[in-house]
Amino acid sequence: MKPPTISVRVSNTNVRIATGELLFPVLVLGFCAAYYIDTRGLPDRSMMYAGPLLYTTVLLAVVTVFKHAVSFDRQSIKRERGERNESTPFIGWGTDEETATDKLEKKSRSTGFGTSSAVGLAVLLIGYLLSLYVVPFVVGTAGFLGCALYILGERRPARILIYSLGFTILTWGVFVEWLLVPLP
Amino acid sequence: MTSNKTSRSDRRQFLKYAVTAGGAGLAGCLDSVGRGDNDDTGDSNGTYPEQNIEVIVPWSQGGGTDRATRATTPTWSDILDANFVVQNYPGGSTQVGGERLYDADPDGYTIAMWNMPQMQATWIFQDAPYDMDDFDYLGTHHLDPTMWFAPPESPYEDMAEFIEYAREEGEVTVGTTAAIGNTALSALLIEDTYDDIEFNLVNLEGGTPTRQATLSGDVDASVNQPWAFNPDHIGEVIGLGTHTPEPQDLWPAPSFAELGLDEIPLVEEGFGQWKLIVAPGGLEDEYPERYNALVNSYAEIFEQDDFVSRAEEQGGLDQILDYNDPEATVQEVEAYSEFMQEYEPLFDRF
Amino acid sequence: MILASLLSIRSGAALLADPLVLAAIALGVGVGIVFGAIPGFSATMTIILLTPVTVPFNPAPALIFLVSAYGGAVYAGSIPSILINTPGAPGSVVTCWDGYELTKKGKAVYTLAVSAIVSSLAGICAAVVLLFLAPRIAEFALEFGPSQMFLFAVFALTIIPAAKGASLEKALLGGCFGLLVATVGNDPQLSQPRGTFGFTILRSGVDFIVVLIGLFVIAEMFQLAYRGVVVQDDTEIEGSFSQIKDAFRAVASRPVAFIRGMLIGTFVGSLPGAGADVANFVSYNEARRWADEELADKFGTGIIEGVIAGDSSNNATQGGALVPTLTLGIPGSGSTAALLGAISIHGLQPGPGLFDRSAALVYALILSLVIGNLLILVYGLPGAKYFGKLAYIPPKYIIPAVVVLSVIGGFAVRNSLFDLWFVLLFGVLGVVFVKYEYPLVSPVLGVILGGIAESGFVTGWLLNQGDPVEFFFGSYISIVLLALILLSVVITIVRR
Repeated sequence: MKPPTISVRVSNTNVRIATGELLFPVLVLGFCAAYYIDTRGLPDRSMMYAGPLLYTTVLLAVVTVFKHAVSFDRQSIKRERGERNESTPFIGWGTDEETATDKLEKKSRSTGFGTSSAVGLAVLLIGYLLSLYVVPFVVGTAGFLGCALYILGERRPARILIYSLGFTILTWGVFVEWLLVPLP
Repeated sequence: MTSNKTSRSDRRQFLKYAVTAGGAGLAGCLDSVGRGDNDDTGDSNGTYPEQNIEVIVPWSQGGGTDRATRATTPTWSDILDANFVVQNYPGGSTQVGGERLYDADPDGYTIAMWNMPQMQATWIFQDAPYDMDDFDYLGTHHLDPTMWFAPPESPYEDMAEFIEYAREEGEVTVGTTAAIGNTALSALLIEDTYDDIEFNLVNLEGGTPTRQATLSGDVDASVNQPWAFNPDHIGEVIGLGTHTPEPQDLWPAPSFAELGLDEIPLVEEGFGQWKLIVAPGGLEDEYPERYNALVNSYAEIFEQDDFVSRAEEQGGLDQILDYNDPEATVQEVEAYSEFMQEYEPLFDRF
Repeated sequence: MILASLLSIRSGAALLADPLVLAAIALGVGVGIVFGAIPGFSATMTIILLTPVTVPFNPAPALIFLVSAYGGAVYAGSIPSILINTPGAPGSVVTCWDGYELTKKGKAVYTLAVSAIVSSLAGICAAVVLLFLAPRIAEFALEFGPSQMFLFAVFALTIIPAAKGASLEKALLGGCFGLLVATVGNDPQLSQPRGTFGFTILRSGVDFIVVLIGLFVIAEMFQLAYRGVVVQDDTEIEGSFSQIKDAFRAVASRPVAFIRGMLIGTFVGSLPGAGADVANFVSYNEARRWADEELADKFGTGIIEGVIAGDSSNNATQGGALVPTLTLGIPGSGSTAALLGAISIHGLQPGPGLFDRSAALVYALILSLVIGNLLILVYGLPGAKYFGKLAYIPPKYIIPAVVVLSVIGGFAVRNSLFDLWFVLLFGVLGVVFVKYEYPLVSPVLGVILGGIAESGFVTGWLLNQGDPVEFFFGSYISIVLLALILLSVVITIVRR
């Protein structure tokens, strides 16, 4: 799955916006804005280094947006006019060429890996971190290990049980009991 | 290291070998199973302490507060028959560790080694959610007096000469260990007392960079404390004087009073950096017997030979040890709070 | 003087003859290797976590145990770099770039052996340098004041525009973002909170280890969960004995590469506050810069020169960093700052008097570095055969375990659950970075060097009373650093 590329016609120019490429620069700009608001009342001495750095970062983010995410295309208009209704912007998915990772993705789908397992892992990790606020480390960890192993394709209950319990006990013994890390 | 090892350290010793020999998880389990049994059979209202006591240090490992704490806990451990775990929570000019202590349950299992006046600074100058009344004070540990240092081969030998030098130069560079604290306050008080001198005040961010800047001559003078600076450097850098009425024993340097600098505020009272043991507020009310156990065992530490000799190894820490009971500690905390509040406007100039 | 130090060296050696001390070295290196190899546990954290364990012991075995664990951890950081493309410690980031590519080609055993050989040799060489040049190195470290540290940080940051295969603005944006993230927290002069958004924990900033775990470990686990393979199943593991022989040959035929990395490591290690985390980047970049054009282009595609560059520098920092720590009490790296704490717990006061008061122990520590680094070879070479198989464990078993270890590691940095959200955030960012071709090295270098750069700049500027001439040209070291920065920028422009 790819983030969409949006085409918008502004007068006689076709503006193409690659939303995926926008992701990081926009995130940086958002962070910079929040940072600016948070630090605006501070004395000069606190910002003598961070201030100029902030403006440089904003500048670079803007440059990146214009070089990678937004392209202005005058010539392609005629070509597209015949094919699409020019008045409505179109959103196309996966307009880029098929990359090596796509090929890998196709290959690995059969083995149970792919977008769903990666996203599943991310969601599980969020759940794991949240669980640490409410249940003891041992419980959250054993749960996470078991679930993660399951979504990564292991279906044999015995293996899941041994893996999650074994690894939990090992880490708990070493880090909590021996090295006294105050895990929740 | 200590004469009577607790069973816990023996177990640790065994564990260390057991674990590294490869049975990491297994050994960890055995240990915890053993301890779990104790917990289960022990009455919950039973003898205190029955679990590890966490000592919060609001500075990183290797700093002065950390070293003082770790020199103390082994002896405390023996007296109270408990295992102390030192945890470092550095940052925010001690506020990170301070909030950690503030949030902890007042059950006698979390205490902190904090320092004054940094402690007061977190609620007077910063946005800390707590203040003086939110804590119980178990006792002071030591007082390291505020002291001025100059690089080797400086053209001045003591504070009076340095002030004269500053007058002639117009502006001199003075390094402090923190933005808010006893070192910065000392510099600000002196600048405020003498209209005709001006300091270019630079916060060097801690004892180590201050030592480096003084040794290499990057500053005209720096403000620190003798023990924090490390008395190993006696003779190498110049001790200009201490912000006290009497000279101290740790570093051969005159006191400001001796040099006739009495007009500087706080010279008569003398001030420096205290380290003290603080507990979350409510401990004394909710668990008076735990509070008393901690207070009494803490007081006893200072009479133990093994502690004193360990302190001596720590660059002569034994010479500035200064225990006060909880009542006297509270008075000292109040006194520091008062003058930090009084001189707050001075800090705006920094 | 020389006689006196020779006598001290002898008494130091006598201390080492104690079987308990020898056992401490052997255990220390072993434990260090285990912790160093866990993604998310740096050498610094290894020392901090192990310090309380050593309290019941005498100073000699206790400190030697910690120093050995430190060396083992720095070396072992490269093991997961090579095998699963996740650095075990910040000193082994660059080892991923060529090391993992070599593993994909079935050369895991060979690469691991090279890593062990150069780590061990570099550590020994640096220890010998330390033994004889300690006073000089200490003097030199003192010369590195705030403005010099700032210029050094800028020099190290010139690696960012040199990053291969990425557009300039993306590389720079990533770098500036990293630098900006490093400014979050109380400012170095007035302790005013910046970018903390009301969170007290952020007053002490965002720890770079947390960023590193996110960008390199969690991001890699997400990608591994997506692609499902560490190495293609059809890749043969090449036999072990001949691989180890080849590894020795590979190192022996590249003495210049090895010596360059070792010297850079010793130098960077001796600088206050900069350790293996900085050295491996500088060394890799210099190796690429000194190479002819054809070879320079191959960096990152799986050439052994890349592994040698990283691993010869990171273990050499240990010797360099220990000198100012022991003689001045000024730690030469994050790890030695933690070691400083351990040293004083055992009743030793680092500083000019240490060599007088405890000469035997200090020399024993230095000599233990030699033995410890030899042991890296003893553990690492036979180990290469077994470690190499780790890359062939099915990813479904690797991923959950590595994630849990990263979570523990991220937590243990400051005992804070809050930091784990940063681990996750940077993990997601890491995936975005890879997908849209931002070099991962940019934000990481920014975060690692940001603190050094900011406090160096601000303090140096104020100490020089805002005089730019004094700031930039105040000492010969500054001028040399300026020349290096200029040279680096010019070469980058020409190459681009």
